[in-house]
Amino acid sequence: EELQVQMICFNFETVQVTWNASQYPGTNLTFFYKFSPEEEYSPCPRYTVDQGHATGCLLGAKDAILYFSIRDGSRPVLTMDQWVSEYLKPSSPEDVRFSWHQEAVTVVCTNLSYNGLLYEVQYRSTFDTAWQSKEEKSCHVTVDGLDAEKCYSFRARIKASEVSYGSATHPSDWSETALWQGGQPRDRCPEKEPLS
Amino acid sequence: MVLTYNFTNCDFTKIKEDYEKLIVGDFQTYINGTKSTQSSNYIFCSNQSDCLAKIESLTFGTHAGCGSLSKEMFACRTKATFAHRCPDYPRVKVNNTQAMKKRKKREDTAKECLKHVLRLQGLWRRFTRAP
Repeated sequence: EELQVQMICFNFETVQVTWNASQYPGTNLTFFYKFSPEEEYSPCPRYTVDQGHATGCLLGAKDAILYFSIRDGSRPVLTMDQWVSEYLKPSSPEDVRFSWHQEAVTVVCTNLSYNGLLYEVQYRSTFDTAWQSKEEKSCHVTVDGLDAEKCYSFRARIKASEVSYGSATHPSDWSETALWQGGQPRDRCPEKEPLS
Repeated sequence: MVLTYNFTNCDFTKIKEDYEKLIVGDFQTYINGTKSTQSSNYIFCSNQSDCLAKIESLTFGTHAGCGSLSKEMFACRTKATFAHRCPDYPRVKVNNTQAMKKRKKREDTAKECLKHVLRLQGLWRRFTRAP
């Protein structure tokens, strides 16, 4: 049965390839990689280990095709190539700022340095049970129709668009949740007054 | 001798829109209809015109074990997009020197063709996000 491999590319900075070590009990598999067919394979710079067994490799990344070979001693167990972008996980939004104008807020953050992303803002008031979402192709998302009296929670994340990256990517982690009421930041939202 | 067209002056934004609206779906239809293959020897492209040149070569060239992809829907739309968005793109580019033999889609041909289609998909995706 072919060795099962997973990959996550963290913001095109590092890529983590992990494998199911239990498929080769008692063996320490080794990992070799390169970023172009002409190059020579390089050994994994940093293994991830679990209970004394290599379970993956962490290496520097870029938007390119990763060629890798996982070996049992000198025998290749799996040799593959893959666009690391297919498994991209962007970093969380940074420097998230809010600017209010009447019943609308524009959420802005630093755009990441590469293309094909979707910047998502989720929001809900204390009266809502579910989050509502809005997304744009740059980190400049305006949400309108908000009630100045209500206290709202906002959070943001970055997703890779399926057109540019395929469907196996991972959304970024959420930013911290920010609370706002009447255009002012809040530490806490007041408890909902019980319906009289 | 097949002259290579220089894609530098194409309207990349419009080509990207055409890809998003039409060609993406064609790839999905093609790929869903064929058993997947593990490794595909993907092809890298550095910038948008490089990507389009490699897309053209892969789409309209002939490939051992697969033949030509030029009759597929995604290929027809690629040709239409190039003709529409690239100045002076030569109308008849497809290298159809020998009559297209009616190709029954055998298992190994389908697999071989799928590798090329996955490479194409990778090139198009890279094109849409390339700097």
